[in-house]
Amino acid sequence: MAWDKKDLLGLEYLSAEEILTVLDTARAFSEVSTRAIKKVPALRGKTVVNLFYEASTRTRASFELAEKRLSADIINMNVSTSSVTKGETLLDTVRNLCAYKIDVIVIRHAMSGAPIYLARNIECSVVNAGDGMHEHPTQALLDIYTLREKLGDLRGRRIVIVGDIAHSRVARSNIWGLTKLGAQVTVVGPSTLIPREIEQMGVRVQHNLDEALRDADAVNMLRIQREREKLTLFPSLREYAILFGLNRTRMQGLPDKLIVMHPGPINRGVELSGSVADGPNSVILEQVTNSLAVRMAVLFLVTGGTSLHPEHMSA
Amino acid sequence: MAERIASAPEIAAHLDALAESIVQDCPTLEHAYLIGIQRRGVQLAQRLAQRIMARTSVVVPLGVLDITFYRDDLSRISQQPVVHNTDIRLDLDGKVIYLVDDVVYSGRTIRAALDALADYGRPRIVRLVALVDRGWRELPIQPDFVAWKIATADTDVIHVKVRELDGEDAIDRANRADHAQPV
Amino acid sequence: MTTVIRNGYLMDPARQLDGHGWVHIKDTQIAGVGLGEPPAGLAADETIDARGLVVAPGFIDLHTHLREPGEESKETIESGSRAAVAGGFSTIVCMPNTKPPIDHASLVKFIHLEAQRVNLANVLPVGTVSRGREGKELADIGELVNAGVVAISDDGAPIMDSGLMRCALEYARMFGIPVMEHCEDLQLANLGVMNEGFYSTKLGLRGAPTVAEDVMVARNLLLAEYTGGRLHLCHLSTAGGVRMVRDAKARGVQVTCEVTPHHLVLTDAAVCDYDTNFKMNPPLRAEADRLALIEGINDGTIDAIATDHAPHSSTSKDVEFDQAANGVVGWVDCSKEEAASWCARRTSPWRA
Repeated sequence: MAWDKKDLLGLEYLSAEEILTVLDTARAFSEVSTRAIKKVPALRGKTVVNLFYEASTRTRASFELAEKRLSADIINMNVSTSSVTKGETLLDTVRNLCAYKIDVIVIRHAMSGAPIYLARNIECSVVNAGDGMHEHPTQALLDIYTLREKLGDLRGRRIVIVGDIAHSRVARSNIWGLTKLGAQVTVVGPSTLIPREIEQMGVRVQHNLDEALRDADAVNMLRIQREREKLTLFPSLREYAILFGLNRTRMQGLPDKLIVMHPGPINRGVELSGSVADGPNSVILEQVTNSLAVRMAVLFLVTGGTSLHPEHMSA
Repeated sequence: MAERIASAPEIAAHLDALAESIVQDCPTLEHAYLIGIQRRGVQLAQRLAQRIMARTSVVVPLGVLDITFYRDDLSRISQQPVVHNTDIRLDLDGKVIYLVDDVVYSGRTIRAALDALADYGRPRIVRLVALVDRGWRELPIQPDFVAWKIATADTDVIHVKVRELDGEDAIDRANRADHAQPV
Repeated sequence: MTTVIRNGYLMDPARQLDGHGWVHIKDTQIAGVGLGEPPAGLAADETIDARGLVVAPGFIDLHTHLREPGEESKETIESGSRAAVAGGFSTIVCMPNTKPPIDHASLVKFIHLEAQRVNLANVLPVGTVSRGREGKELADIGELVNAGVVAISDDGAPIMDSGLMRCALEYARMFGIPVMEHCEDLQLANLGVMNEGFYSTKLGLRGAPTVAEDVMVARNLLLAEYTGGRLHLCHLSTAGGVRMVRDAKARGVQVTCEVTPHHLVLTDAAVCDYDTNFKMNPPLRAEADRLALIEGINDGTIDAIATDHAPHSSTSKDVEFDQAANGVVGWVDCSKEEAASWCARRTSPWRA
């Protein structure tokens, strides 16, 4: 299927066919990283700006490497949020960058919707590298890519997402992507971290991890970020680990083939014990490897996109 | 309407001849490596490998090359083309590569393929094997072994069909106006 | 100079007029009004054909933000007055959340003077409840009343201190003015930028739940009942709020309330594109709330439609959703026929 979008803003705005196009393209790109010369000239002469308003180590490294392996020219900009609130607006910053005739902006921003706002206002491609609590589409695409490598067609597969669903952009993007591909998604977490209306996004809600995992094909353990919230939404990390953490004891009662994923970075001993993170069920490092191919595919596809309007307008 | 230039028996006969040419070119087949260019070069390379094995009992390794990432028109076309897989598992250093494509036209696909091969290694020799040479070259590239040389109009579309993808083996000529060029 | 307006649709609840008719104007005074055709022989220097138009007395807007003093780049008393009369409003009540806030008699006098100079709409200032709108101690309310405020309000800054709210209601009772309260429990609202619901979940935007408003509506109704003070609830937006006001009125609590046009015609679904024009406080709510508000208007629970006209400069709105200012202009929306007819069918039981 042909791709005509200039932006990747979220999986909510993609069809199942478009998601599969990205994943198929990613499969072709996965070969590049196995060569001696891990580079193709597909984005030669294109300029990509990595505009990160939020600290990020792995997502930025992954994007940067993907861009380099596509032969793009890169500018990295790390803007601290404090200077943004004092100084020029996001749009002014980006319009200045656009004056250099850049082709793609990869943006990470603490505020939900910032990439959509940008895409509406500028002509170059916008790739969402995580916006607030909204979406993190490339993370979900690489999660789904990894799942498909292991499980094949995801229709009817049972995927469990565990953690702070309320504040997680990874959860939202995974929910959109997985449900579009026909998987059955269950979200698990403390009731204070599960939004009241989440079921309207097509998922089931569970608060008992053991029950939720009993017949699951895969589980995605989200990073718990206690610092995000001023209110006390759960009592302690210790209690969280007891109720919602995955450790060796809990794994014993679970299906042998259960795939364990984590978007990283892991709080060892909280979401995952070390033995599970490094154990046979874990595909965490494969996720990291796959992130390159997926991000190469996304960058390659959006630079060919022509649609004049951001895709969300027609969603 | 498409005009049929060749059908299955003639194609089979010409593939026999191409396989024979390769064996003549590289009698020991020691470092030979057949690489089919996505998409229909892949099936043609498989057929050549089968024929070479039938004739010499030597299994020539097969590779698959997608040249999309190396196209020189990526920034000019409106949509990114569909990307297919590449499968080159052998070290290319010192190999004798038979690059197989269905139709040679502008020469730009082969230019891209040569760039791609350079990223995999340094072959000793690269030869170009094509089923059809339809003329209209834009680069100084010529096939070493070719089954059909066809004089065409610029607006013609030469469509090589293989039964694995198209249900039959054939070579058709159509007009660009009523026939989309296969990718 | 005489003028006749004919063929217009007359709406004047005070005179029980609701139909096509005519208006006769002599100099600056209305000399006659009636349904149907004007009386034969009614001479006029000028005739205005108002076919397809509504002819009504000037509307009163109970809730506006004129931004002056302090944020003149957004609106001024002059520009606001012009916008108001262009939208059919001849009397506007302006909120005291200016910079500085209207917590002192001299500021009230400034607004009066400026409004007189502009000489377009009647501008009726509201004073603050607390000094500096800080929610800590009462402003000099008596002095504010003497200077001409028609009500007190810390609009935009809910009075979280229940003790202070009790005092405000009791103290204002002396002067016969209402306390206009923006009902929002700030802890429950938790810095929400839109209604908490499916859309906030989907968009990953912080949600302010309806219960953050309802809790304060309940508290304020209880305090009004206890103190006997006059309470006016600003921009009611929830089904729960309408239900509680209905019950309170049935018990005889001295409460009035208003609703904005945008809460009557829009829901939180409008935010789905992160369009900052739809960011306001209280936020656009769910469809069930919207329908309850309309029901509240129809059964008289809601006393008035007020625009909460809250203009911003584009620099406050052309930013990320989380950073955008709350508020929307009111006087363009309100000229819509539906809103106009709502405005015209009901009059406020308390008159400024």
